[in-house]
Amino acid sequence: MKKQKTALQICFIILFTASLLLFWLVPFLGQKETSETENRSLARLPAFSADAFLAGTYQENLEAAAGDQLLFSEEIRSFVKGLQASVLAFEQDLLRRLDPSLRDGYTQIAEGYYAYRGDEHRIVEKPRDYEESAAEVAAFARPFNELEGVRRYLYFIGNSRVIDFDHPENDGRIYEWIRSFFTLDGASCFASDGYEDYCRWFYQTDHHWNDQGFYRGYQEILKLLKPDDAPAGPGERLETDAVFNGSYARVTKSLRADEHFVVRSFDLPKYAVTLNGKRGTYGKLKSYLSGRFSSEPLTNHYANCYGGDYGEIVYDFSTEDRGRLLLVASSYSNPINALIASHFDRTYVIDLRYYEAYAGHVFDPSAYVKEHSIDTVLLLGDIRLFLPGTETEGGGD
Amino acid sequence: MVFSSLTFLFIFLPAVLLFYFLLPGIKAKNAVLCLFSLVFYAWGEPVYILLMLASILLNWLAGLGMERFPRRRKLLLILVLVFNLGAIGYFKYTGFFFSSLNSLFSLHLPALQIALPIGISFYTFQILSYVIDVYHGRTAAQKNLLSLATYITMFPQLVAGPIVRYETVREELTDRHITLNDFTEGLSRFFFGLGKKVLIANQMALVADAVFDAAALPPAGALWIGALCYTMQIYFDFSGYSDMAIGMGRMFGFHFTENFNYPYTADSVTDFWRRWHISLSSWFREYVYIPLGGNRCSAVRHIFNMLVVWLLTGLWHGAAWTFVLWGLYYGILLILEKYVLGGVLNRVPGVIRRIITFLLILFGWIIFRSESLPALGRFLSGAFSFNFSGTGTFFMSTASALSPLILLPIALLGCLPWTRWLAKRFPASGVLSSLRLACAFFIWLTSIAMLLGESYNPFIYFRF
Repeated sequence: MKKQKTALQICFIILFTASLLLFWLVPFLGQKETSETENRSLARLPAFSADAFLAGTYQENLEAAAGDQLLFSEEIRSFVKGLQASVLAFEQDLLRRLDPSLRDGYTQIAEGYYAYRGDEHRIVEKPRDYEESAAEVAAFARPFNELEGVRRYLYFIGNSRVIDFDHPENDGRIYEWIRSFFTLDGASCFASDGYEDYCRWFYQTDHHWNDQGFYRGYQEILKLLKPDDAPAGPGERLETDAVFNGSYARVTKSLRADEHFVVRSFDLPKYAVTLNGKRGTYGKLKSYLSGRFSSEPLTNHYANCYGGDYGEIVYDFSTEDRGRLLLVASSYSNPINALIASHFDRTYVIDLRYYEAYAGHVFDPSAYVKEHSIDTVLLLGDIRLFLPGTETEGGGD
Repeated sequence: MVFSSLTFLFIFLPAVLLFYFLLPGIKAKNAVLCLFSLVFYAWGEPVYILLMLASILLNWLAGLGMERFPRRRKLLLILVLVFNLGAIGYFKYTGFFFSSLNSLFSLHLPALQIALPIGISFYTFQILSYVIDVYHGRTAAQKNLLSLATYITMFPQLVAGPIVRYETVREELTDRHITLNDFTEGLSRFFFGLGKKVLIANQMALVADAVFDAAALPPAGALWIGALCYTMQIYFDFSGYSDMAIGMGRMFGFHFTENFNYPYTADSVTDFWRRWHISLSSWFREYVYIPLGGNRCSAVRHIFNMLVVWLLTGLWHGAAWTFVLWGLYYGILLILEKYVLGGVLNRVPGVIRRIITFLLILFGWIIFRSESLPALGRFLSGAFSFNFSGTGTFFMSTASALSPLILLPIALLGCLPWTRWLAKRFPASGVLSSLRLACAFFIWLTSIAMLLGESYNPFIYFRF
């Protein structure tokens, strides 16, 4: 009996020690760079410094890295989130049965993410009190307002982060507010007329606009920048057999979507692309058109097909006299970068979230415009372009 | 650093265990414990570690001085009391004092924002127990600075208790043996404590925070559910921490006294305080209540003594009027039980007594959790409106509060002593002890999974 107990206790200690290998094997197996499921860079084990320790940043970074680098952390996190989503769905279903009035309006499915009017397939966000952050928008706008010798444009994307579907009469308010910070030659907003109209333009479980949405966006942008140019397209549409569960699905771990990912391609003149200073190909449109793509349920088809996020992308159409465009944008521009660029000689697409990491310094619009002889500047994005501090958990752009 | 952080679980704890068991001899082990404890403290408080070290040195010298110069021991005691209580008074109560003066007399004194050193309330009380015991001759002064520093800084109980009296560990500081049984029992106790914290307290906190911190007052149903969840949160949070501290102490060969004894099964408020935060209650009894005269005095003096002790207990928990009110609330309840209701309560069936006691405790936690007296008033007006309409909508629109509610029945069950009942029913059962270890390991793995999946992970008692 005593021997049995001792053996059991030793087993217990061995199991505990073995579980610690989840962390201690990381230095030997190598650290992970990014999380495909969460669409973000992972924290890496920090180097120790006395200054960082005294400031507390070393401790914070080590904790973040331990969470991100632990073996199977992505799978474990995914499982926990999925379990929580299932529990929540069960509880909400129970509440709905008890009180039928709960079927209207927004229903929270995870912190910051909602279903609207019982729509089982779509996930949306809700507007916040952005107007408290006027100073942040003003700081963002200042360097662009100070640009000289360029035409300045703004194209604002009104998505569920700024639309209150219960009160659609207020939809244009945030756009007008953002616009008021800028001195512009022209501005426009990608608007929706209520929830049903919104559903036409945006993916069910991804914050981005779908192929109908981005093509409409491109046309409206062209009217703004070059009203005399004829738009390219409408291009070819190919519905793949992949059900697209996008960023909201990844964050909330709920596979609600029932829509198939649609690839839209356009015939454009030949052009060259430079990604973060290196020649390359942007996106995998051709692979998608030939049916070669991942069929994993949470694959980020939007980024994989149309292209991911880079600090700087340069499009060169080898023409002259059509001008040079600086496009400061979030990932909303990814599928229409080339479309817009096809109306200019050269187009410089800057993603402010990644520029500093690529260039080694903060983006300076004035110096950049001078260096590249740019004559047109377009700011393209949703509210987060102007207020990068408003991100919800895991939901990138 | 908190016990339920990945840094602690995967880096700090394995490192300290490795060095502790690699090095031979009690002195080396004490040095390892002391050194790692300082790192543990510095992890969250790189600057205030100097305050703690100064406090240790001063109290060590005072203890030696009391033995060497018996005629001056009173003076030395007063000096260290001024230092110890002065430090806690300055860091914890100055801001409260000034803001209270401003409110009471409409003054405009500067609002001081002094950062509170982590765990100052806990380690100061431990140091006080040492010097007061030396003063009274109940214990000999510790000659070895390292031993005293090990006692004060010992990381398992450094920042959130239990308040281990010097007497409890005096012998083990110089002579202790660690058996395989001690180590595994300690480790499994640590896992159970971690589970209490991560799997239950953190989840209950999500509901409680969503209710107590809501911008608009939630409906009555949500307020009562929030209060119940906070009642669960504070118990599982604090008793979980104590379990982890006691468990780790045992892994290192120390046997700390228990801090909780199923407090929500108490059949009176007096009984509750015999079961809740036992180390704090006994500290106040030993070092405040009895020196004031205890109950061996007139009824009026006894009532005064109780009110003083409970006022101080409230203030110990935090520098705010809500804590003062909470302390006095218990003081008055205990006086009522002692002098007015004692006979009546004895005739009430046990189950009813327990339910009444639980409701009184729950009410106490509402006072405790409220950010301010106006916030408390707002909460109570909403809760006692008994207007339950809108409760479903509140939870439907607050996923963070709805999702963890599924664990509330488990939390309620966890407050009952069914494990003790099982142990009594099946004494020395091999199956039961195997099952216990298997459960502990499962809880360990599940806690890690939850820590990876969740970001909400504070310890309530850290702020005291």
